[in-house]
Amino acid sequence: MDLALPSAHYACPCSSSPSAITSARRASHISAPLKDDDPEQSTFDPHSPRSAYNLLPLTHLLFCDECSQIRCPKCTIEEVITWYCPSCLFEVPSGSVRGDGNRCARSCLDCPVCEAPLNPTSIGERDTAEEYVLRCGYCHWTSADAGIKLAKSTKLTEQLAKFRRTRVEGASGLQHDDEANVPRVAITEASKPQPRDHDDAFGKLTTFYKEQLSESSDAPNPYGGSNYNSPTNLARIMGIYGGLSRSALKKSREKPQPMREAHGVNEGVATFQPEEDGDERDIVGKMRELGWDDLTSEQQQVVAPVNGDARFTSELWPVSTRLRTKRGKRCKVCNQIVFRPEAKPGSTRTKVRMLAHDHIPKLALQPLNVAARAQDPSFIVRKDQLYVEPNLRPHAAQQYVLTVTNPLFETVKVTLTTPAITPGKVKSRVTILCPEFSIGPAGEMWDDALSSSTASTSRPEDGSRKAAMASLTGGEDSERQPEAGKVWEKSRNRTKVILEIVPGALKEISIVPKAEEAQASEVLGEDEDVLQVPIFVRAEWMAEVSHPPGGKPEPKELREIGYWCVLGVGRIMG
Amino acid sequence: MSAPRLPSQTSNRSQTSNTSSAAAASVRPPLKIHSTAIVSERAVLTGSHPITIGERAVIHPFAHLRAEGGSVTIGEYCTIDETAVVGLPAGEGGEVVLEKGVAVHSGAVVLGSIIGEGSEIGVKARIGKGATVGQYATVAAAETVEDGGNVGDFGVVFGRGRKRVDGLLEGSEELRELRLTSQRKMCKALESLVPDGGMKWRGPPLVQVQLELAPHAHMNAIKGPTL
Repeated sequence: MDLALPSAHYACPCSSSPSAITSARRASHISAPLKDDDPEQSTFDPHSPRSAYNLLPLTHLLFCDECSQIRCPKCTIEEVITWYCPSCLFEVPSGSVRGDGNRCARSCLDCPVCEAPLNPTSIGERDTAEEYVLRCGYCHWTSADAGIKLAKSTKLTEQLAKFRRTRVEGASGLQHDDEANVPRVAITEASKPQPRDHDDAFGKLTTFYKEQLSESSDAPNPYGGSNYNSPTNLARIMGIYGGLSRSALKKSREKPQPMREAHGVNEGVATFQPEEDGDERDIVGKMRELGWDDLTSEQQQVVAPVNGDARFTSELWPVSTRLRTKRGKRCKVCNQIVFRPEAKPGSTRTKVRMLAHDHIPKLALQPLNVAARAQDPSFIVRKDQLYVEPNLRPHAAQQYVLTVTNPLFETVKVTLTTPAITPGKVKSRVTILCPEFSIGPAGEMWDDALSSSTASTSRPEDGSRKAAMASLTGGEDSERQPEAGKVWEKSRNRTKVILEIVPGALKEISIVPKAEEAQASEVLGEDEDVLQVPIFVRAEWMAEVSHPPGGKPEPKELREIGYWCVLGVGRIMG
Repeated sequence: MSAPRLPSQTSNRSQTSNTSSAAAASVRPPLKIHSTAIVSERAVLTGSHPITIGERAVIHPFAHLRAEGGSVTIGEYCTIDETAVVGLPAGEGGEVVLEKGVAVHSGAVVLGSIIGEGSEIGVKARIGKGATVGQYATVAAAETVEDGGNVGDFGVVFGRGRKRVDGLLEGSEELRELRLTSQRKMCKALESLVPDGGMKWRGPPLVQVQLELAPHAHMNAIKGPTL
């Protein structure tokens, strides 16, 4: 949790207790009444080590309208909506993603040195045929550095694959003949292991194990060719009556062959072969000669299997561009979609975007005294603008304006509750002067400006005495004193109430000398001197129930939501 | 209405005298600007050491040629982009030379002594004091060559100080020529896009102009003679 004060962080219900999700799953999906005796609703301690994981700014939170709860990144599941190539924006069908190795199979290639995209560049001399190399615009690596020159500027991947095949086969052409059968001891100079193509080796390995599986598995069904719908069932029935064919009987008597592991190059296994005067020594010698910059880094090797064996930058091969994904988010509890981007790779729009910002009342705290107002930390953009942390004097009562904003299109009844004394080692006293109030509905952006008087639009519908008083006292008056039970200010979808805070002392003065343990327990941890006020917000509103078009409109339904919000006020001075 | 008398030294770009030099004055450093070079009116030329700008070089608006610590030489077909700074600040001695066809991109700071032919200094890159950059070298965006450092011929500085040598350029005369040609074409294209500062840089020092002419006269002089 960052500490740019004053701050407002919201607690996601998922992490307040490990059973929250399971209990929420059991609860009825909408408007589950909040039980006061529920242990989950016990006071939230912003200073407890656990809460560092719970509290998030409002902008990081999503909202699930099915469970009517806040959802943080931990209680949503990500799902891949589409794979696409960032270079050519081609949407790759999910079936072929794995086959292509999560890489673009078209002509998109990246630089193996710095990962910037490569472009085909003509290097042909005037009198000779046109030749192309792949060139990186950032680090100026060219495929000519690896000895690759292409004849055309199109179909790059095919040309490269062909080029690689000829190179690999040229190097290890001798060892393709029955190497698997040659015993290890008899490996001669001719069958010396050479750099092999990984794709090739992988293909061989897969076919080998597939063969092994089919050989060692059960005998093929003898009734496979019959007209009967289910050959397995038929085999079972025939088995009951002892009707096995001669060949099947013979096969069943045979011992099944145990599966064996692959060995040898023809089965796709590359093993380390100690050489007496082998490449290794040459490589070490070469490494000694060349500088650090000519050796490949670990990242360059692991970024693509093609470069897994490359030791020198001159051996690096162009890398196919890795695919990107567009991901949606679902609620972990009810699987409801809370975020879904448009599938088209070029588009940045979203189809579903359930932000907590649009669904729960937002809280913001500012000192009532304008002079004491700190600069909003989010407006500090330059280095030379100093951020002055608001400091609080212990035992000096201060009044704060708590602004509650309603993003919903219905009038919301809000109840705020806070422990009278803040949890944590420093005991501060907090009083909400008006804990129950209503906020008008959010509307069009210009409603407020166009309506002749704000009082008419913001007049609460519940008709409570407090709210009526609030509308009467709503005028701007600098001389005004905050009064208990009264709303400070009210506009269209925003209500301001006063909070009175008496910061506690960091060290409690007592006449009686304390025991050592008590003194040790008083040592403040990191950020324990920051005054944080946990407030439980409970909002109630009548929501319209969606009905099929043309159907009878149903009566409005009561909905409610409750959540903990932690307001960071300032640092208490010692 | 009588046209104001123009100072005799006026070198409009059509009346080509190869270079127009001006004596040292308090308002601007001694300049030696080739008649085909383009120095924007909004470019910033400061210091008291001489500044030389070569054939068809383009100095963009708000580019800063700082001859405070020593002379600044901009070679032919060089481009100095917006907010780039070339030259040492006051208090630090040493000249800065940009050879033929050097492109200094916007926000770059060049304090180094010599930038070789056909080199490219990327956006917001920094060439430290006394550093040398070889021919056809590239310093990528936001990279730094430390004070007194050296980038060899065809060298590339990228990815937070990693270095390599552009083997392709090194091996092919034709590609090097291609790079220079593209820089020439860039200068030609900029010719129509960046208006030249004209009299502000090529006329006599402004102090003299104000003494000789009416207060508003030099404004007309920039636009050219009106008849």
